[in-house]
Amino acid sequence: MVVVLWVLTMVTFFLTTIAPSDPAGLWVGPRPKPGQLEKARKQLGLDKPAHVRYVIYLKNLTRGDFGVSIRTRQPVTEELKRYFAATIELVTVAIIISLIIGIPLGIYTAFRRESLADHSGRIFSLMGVAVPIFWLGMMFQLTLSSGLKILPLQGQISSYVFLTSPVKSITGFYLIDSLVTGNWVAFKDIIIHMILPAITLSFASLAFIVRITRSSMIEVMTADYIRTAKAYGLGNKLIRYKYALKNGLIPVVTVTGLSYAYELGGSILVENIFDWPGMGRFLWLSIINNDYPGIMGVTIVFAVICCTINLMVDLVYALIDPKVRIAGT
Amino acid sequence: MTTNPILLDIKDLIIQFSAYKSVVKAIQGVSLTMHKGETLGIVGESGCGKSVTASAILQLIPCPPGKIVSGEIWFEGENILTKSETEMRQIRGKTISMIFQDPMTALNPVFTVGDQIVTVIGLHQKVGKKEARRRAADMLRLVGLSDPAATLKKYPHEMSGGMSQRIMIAMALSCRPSLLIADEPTTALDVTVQAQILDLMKNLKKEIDTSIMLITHDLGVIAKMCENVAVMYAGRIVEYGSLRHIFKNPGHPYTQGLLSSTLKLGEEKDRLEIIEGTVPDLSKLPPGCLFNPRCSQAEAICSREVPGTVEIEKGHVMACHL
Amino acid sequence: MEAVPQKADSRLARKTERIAYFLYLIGRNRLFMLGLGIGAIIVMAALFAPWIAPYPGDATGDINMQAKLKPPSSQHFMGTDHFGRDIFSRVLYGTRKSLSIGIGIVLIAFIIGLPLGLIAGYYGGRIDEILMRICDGFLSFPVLLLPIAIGGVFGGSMKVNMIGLAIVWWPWYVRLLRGQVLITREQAYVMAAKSIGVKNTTIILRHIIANSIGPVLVQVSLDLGYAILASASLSFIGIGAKPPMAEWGFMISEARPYFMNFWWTTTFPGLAIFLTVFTFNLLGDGLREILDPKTR
Repeated sequence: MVVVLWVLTMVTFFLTTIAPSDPAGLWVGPRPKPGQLEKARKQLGLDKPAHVRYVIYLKNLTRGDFGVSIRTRQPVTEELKRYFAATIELVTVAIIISLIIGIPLGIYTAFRRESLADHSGRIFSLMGVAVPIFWLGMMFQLTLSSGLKILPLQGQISSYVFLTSPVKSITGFYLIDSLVTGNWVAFKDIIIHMILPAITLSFASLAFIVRITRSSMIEVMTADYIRTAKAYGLGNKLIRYKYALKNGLIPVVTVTGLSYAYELGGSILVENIFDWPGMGRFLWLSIINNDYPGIMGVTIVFAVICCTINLMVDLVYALIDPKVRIAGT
Repeated sequence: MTTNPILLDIKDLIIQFSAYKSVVKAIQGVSLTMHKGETLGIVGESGCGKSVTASAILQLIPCPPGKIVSGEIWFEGENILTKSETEMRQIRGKTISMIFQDPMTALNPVFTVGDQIVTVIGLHQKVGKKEARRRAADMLRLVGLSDPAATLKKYPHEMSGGMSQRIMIAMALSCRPSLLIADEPTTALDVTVQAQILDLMKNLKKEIDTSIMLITHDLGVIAKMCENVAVMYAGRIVEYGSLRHIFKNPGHPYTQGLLSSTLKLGEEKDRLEIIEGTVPDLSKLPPGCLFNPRCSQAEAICSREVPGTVEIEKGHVMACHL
Repeated sequence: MEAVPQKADSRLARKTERIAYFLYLIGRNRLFMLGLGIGAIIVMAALFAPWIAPYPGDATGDINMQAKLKPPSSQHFMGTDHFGRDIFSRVLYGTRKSLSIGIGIVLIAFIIGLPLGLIAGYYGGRIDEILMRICDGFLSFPVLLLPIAIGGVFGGSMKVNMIGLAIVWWPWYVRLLRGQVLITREQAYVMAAKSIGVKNTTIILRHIIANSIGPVLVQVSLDLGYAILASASLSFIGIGAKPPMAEWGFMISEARPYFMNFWWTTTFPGLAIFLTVFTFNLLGDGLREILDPKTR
């Protein structure tokens, strides 16, 4: 894991060194006064050779310093601190939606093969992964926000609520903080704002999870041990929802990890469309403005999150599947 | 033997499977009788229908694509083929138990062995968890596993093939069934372990007072365990008799072929004899006797008429024109 | 005397029987047929766009400000965009862009992944371990991350996108091929062939590749769809496509300021993306069902 991260830092740094546009030039803006460019270069440390800069960059990383954003002129770390919680909240809620709806739906269709529900479920899962996230978000906005006016268009919290019942920041996660402080107004408001972006983000993962759960359950039902269970008179419910399910969910755990990574990537698009103040949107703005420290900062944070999620997936694996547990000890 | 009551009576069982554009006639009229306390062996090649027959008893055949076209299976006075799924659940694992070929895959890998046995005991004997666990431990001791308490906490992949099969036997006999169906119980095990398992089954049969239907392709196993033998070929029983009858005086050419293709201890042969040809395609059955194409003693009538049952000696029948 | 014609006869009969069987399987799978149908239409659109499109110029640079933002009509099936360009024509041309980049990505990924996967699977040991670690690394990150980093830094173009995505994509094929090698390796007939003394390379080429064709074909069909989706996403972000390119993702992002009041500017390109990816999903899924004996 660590190796991969390190390679990633090298790759992203390498990319910035061979980038065509000059960070110093971006820093000082168009039409610099003479000497300003030189000064900026010195300030940004660009006069040192590449490998030295890389070492300095790594050293800064370990101190949590991602450099200064060319676009906002603030330390990237500070910016990310603000946006980190918003993205994590959104993605986590989206994953939960995918699982809570996806797994039961997958199970339902697995046990009702060839029925109308099964066919619709299968078509839905094939369609769900084919829909472009950004387009889906825009369609939602078109129909639900602008058309039917039931859900808000953008933002994480309406300005009115932001001003009148601001959320006290404890964990940084608005949902948790507002709940803990009993701020129902803000809580409701945030939930309403979260609905569309979260559903958009969860859509493809939901479809995929339905599909994986369904095929996994079908496969498990053909296993020998299910035949044994039946041969010993165990009832259908017991077989399906205890004996088969635990086996069937194992692949779903892997998929959940993958989905989280996928949704992190998707947040770049969704946060853009719904103007959600998160890292995805920050990344997008950095891209548009050639803000290399910004781009690299978010990339590294995303990578770290993915690694953490993978570790957690491995842990869950060990919990469910005893073969893994014993192999590890 | 004839003084013992009839335990199982299969009458003219016909089972078919629907496949791509064809119907596979897996079982074309099997009739069998088992008495209480008997060990019946069903022997035959792969695909001859022995497992299907056994699965049919417990109604474990998936229908579709399978279909029990006709026939009756009388067990302890009832035609259990007419029973509903709910009623069958009362029988499975309780009055009739079945153990399968590969014990390693027959147990659920994500639950402890104890969990699985206790569930079965709790289900059929209607006792609480603690009592069920106690009984499970007793059964494990009975099948020769030391330290039952520790074994119950193990997972299936932590055990050897022999251990797993003992556990399966323990589970199968835990509710003292009247009939134990063993479908190739030793095929997946090492030879030395095979002998142990078979001995175990023999001893337990006496202790639990159960009857055994043993399905195998291995004549050695039959010789060791069974009192009566039914030889199956292509969905039919071609010969039936006591162990002595079959081994000493086989009537059907197929049985003769089976016996001569193995070596007896101390026997020397230059070439093992084989039965020419292969098993017929069960969806395209030739007319007449099904063994006819491979039979070295075939006569004209064999390709025309299906042979009926002929008695060779008392208690020994075969389906052959010769 | 009778033997020769009989042999040839039965061989031919057997071959036709097998083909008939496969056609039956394919026909039974209605979703696959649907995918084939729509897929054929899409390919037609891509190949013949310059002749089918009513306003081919609109896709390559013409602007017609008088026809700006007109709703769908008989003259403009999908309406016009903010530059007065016929959206239908642009969508048709977009087919070419998307299909070509999709094929490019999958092809490159496959060409890199195939040999690596075969090597990793067949030789095992340290090579395998190292390769697997690299693949795991790639697979655990969002697909768009690296192409974004590359594109954001270099300014991006469709070609750069293609390479960037291919770089992220090849680990899937390494994994897939390696898995197939491992499965096939254990198969009895490989061992049997070895025991007769057939050379190593012969074993690889014949058994393993022949067996892998199925799963690889499934993966390729699915990936074509996902690659197109990924590249459209990149264009939407602003990496890769430049005006006046008729690329679906780019069209949607260009239309963002207008779509609230002029719904057709984004709906149709988005539907095009959806339909294309959906088609490839149908094909891949259908293939999977056809090839997997368990579901027959």
